[in-house]
Amino acid sequence: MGRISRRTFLKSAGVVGGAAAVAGFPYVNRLALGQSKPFKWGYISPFTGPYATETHDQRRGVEIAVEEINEKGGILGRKVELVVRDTEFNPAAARRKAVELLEQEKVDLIAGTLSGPEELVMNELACKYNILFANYPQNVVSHKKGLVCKWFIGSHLTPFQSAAAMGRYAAQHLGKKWHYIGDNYSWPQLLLRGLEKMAKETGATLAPPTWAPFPATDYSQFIPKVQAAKPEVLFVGNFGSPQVTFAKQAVEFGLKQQMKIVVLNTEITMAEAAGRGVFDGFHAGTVWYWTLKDKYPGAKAFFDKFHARTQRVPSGYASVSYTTTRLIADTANEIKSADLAKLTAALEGRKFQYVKGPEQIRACDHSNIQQAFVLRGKPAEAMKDKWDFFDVIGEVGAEAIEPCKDEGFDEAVPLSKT
Amino acid sequence: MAAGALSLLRRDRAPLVALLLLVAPFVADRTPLYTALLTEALVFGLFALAFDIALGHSGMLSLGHSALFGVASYTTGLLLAHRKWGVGESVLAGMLAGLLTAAVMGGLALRKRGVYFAMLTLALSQIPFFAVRMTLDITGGDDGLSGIPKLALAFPFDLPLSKHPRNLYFFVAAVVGLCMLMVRRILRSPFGRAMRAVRENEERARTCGYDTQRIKLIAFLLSGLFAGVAGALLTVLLEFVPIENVHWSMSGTVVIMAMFGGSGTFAGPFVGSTVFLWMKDYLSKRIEFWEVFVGGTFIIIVLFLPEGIVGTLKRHLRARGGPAAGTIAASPRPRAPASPTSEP
Amino acid sequence: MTFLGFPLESWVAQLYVGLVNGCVFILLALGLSIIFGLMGIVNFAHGVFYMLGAYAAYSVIAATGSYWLALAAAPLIVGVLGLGVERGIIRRIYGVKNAAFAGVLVTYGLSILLPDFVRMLYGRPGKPVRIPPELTGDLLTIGGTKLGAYRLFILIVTAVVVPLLWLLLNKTNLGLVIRAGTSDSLMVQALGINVSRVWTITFGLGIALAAFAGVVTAPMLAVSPEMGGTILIQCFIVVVIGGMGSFAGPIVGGLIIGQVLSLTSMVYDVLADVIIYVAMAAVLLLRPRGLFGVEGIED
Repeated sequence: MGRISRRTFLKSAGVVGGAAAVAGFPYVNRLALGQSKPFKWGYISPFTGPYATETHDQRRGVEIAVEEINEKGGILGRKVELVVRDTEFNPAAARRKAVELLEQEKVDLIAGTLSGPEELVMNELACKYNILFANYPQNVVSHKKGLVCKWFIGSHLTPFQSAAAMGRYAAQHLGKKWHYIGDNYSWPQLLLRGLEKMAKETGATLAPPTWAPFPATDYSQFIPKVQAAKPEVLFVGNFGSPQVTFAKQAVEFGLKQQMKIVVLNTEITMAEAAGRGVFDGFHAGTVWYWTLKDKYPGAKAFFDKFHARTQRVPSGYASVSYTTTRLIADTANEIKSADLAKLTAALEGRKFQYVKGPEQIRACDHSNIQQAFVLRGKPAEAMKDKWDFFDVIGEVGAEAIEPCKDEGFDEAVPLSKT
Repeated sequence: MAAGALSLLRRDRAPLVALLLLVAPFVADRTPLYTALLTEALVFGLFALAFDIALGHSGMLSLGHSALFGVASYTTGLLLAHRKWGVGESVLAGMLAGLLTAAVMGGLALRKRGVYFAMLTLALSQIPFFAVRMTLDITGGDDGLSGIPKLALAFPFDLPLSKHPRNLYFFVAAVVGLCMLMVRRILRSPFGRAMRAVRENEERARTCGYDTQRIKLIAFLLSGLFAGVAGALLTVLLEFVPIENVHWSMSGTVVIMAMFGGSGTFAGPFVGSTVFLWMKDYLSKRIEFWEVFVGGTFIIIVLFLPEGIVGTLKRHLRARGGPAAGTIAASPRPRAPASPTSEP
Repeated sequence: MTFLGFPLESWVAQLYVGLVNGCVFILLALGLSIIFGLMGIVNFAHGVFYMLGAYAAYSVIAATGSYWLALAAAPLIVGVLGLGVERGIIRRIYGVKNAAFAGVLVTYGLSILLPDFVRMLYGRPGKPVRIPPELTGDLLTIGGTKLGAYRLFILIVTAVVVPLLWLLLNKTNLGLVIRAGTSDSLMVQALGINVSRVWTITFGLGIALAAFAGVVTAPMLAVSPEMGGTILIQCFIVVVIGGMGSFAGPIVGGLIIGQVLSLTSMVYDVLADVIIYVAMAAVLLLRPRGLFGVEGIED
């Protein structure tokens, strides 16, 4: 049978190699270097895998922030250099590459991640190597008693914040007979715990949840069961393609007409993948939405820059990674020090505002106390352009979160002093 | 003198391998194959070798090796995190866990052969996965097991392991090297011959008087034992146990690594795991759509080296009339001709 | 009237959902079974071709606006791609020692390469594909669940395609050669028939079936480059349970798995992802060649 001749092999190897060089997308982003040693920003996230869309958007936010920081002179005069690694959506590879960043590249801090296990790995390394870890996605580590490293900085809403925000909104405006459907892994499980607490607080009834196997590719077998329960409000705990599948099937099975659907955490990338009008009538919680540019000047500046270079609107993930990157750099510059203990102490309790209302890093557990926004999906006919999927119909402020003591932290003791 | 050394090398590649392992970390950090990657490659190489004891050397395709690997990882992890055991004892416990899991799995699955055996191992390997998710308070569930403290070796001498990649490397290399010697011993022994007889033709082996069921079970137990060591070592290396260790995709990964490197050879599993891990690591740093290149390169390599990297190279080298070459730890020429691509 | 706490209507709706999902499994498992049963190749990339079918449908709809055209054209397009893959890549491993291993490796390589290639071409966010307007109506509502026309369409389409496939394999010359070529390729060659071309067509046929399944499910779920992942392993299980080497096997297997998943989701959802493995283990221990398997296939 035909075997590849050596010539063919060499030719194809040459093609592959050449294409690799030409199509290359340099991940070690060597920005202009100043006189002094660059400040190496070790950025590690799953750029391949099911959430690649969100992490690439996250990365765009980081790059814009780094550019702005360097325009202003960098961090204490040192240019910020992004050193990027792909975790391959595999915690073992994540750890190995993080160790490479720490040992070989000698980065000055670690930032990024998207999945729970990756966050836990970086959190542990942060305390073993004594280095700042800026976690860009929703933190799960704050909900795991005793595990948070004192050098951990949260950026996004915690699952409790998301659940509490939407739960509170739902109890007030949508109904008090609740049901929850989620993918069966840790983040949706944490969302449920948040909902359970909200149910108690608001007097809503929460039926036993419906769990879909993770990764969920099909919810159709769970829908009759949900419908039989006849809830007023259905909370949805998933992300990425599973959320898109659920939305499509909710429309197909007529779920939208029977109950109020509340997606606990959404991003524009999911509405985009589902298509126009699929999210019509859905309520959803999010950390930031692009139409906020009309309300906050910081959001507009960020939006304009982002849109100019990508022709896309920024997602909440991009806004969060942008915010935290800017925050850390600005804080270090303000206190004129990048010393770990001093910087962390300065971040604790710090109030800041970049692309939305005022935010604050809470001292006891380093989560970011911030607004959550309530979105409602628009019908296809009402969309003014291809990104106009949602209206921002409400916001829930920082008070809708877990008090420190409920998570086992001492309100009065900043985390860095523990 | 030189001729003597050369002929020694031809007969026993172990000293050369030991030398390479010893020297590697000092050179590695200057190459794209940095120490942490090399260490991980050794661990997965051992895992693939363990897997290949069942497949390449005994003819049993197991699709459930994630259970053996994963149960060992969690055993070691739980002992380190919750019971504060030492590193040495935890690794030994992991090894035993792999052995016991193999006993249970083998006992049930070996009632069948071929593809049915394979699918049964796949089905059975779901049990540990499910168990880990159901006991999330102890095992951490989908988030994996964290909370392993800073590790250090106490015996035979004090050696800090956390934050010392080179020490970790030497520890892992020593354990893996020891396992390699043991496996080589087994493969060259009469039992090894029996395994190969079963692999070649089970019916014929039985008519020759071999108790094939017993041979297969023991081979599977050995496979589980070494897979257990690998699982334990990965826990020590990562200081963390991801749930992926016990997921069926890990079974798929080890199958790929072993076949890619060359099933039935000794060096194949190590070459397969190193090349595979390194390709992803290297390309993911340089190219945005690196999976296209990994997949493409992978296919090209397989088409050019269809019996696995080492397997095909061995065949070519043998065809040129050279000595039994192509593997790192080649055995002395056996007297009875064995199958060309499968002697250790 | 309730059963195990759920109204009877919900059970009916659940069974219907399970039936339709079973149809998708049937289409996929038949393709996999044709390739494995007739060529001995374990097609690790089967899920990826399913995904390519969905993307091809998206492109055809984007270009022409017609789902119906996509239904016909997408499987053809991807099928032709399958022919190319067999010709260019797969056939180079025939006759090699341990060709089965090489087959696994090569299709595994494809399963890494192709999804990322799709990301390069189409971008990372998934693509929207909707139910064609002619099929968005409901037929009836049972216990609060709309039983839409689209899912009925899937049932009908499967009920049409499967017998057609059977006719192709059993009543045409091509089918005869396919079946003969796999049991005794030497003899077939001796008769002057070009076996390698038969294998190309067989592979292409299996791929086209996978792609067809992809087109059919695209309106119902998220179309993303990763969509072929989980369904692949479910497919293998369907083939094992149904039994290899027979035509009825994948059909029965698909229907059973569809219902097992559906009913488990109703009764004990946490078990839903593991239950199919339990089912497979049970079948393997009790009736190892699968429910409709042909003897002698295993070795």
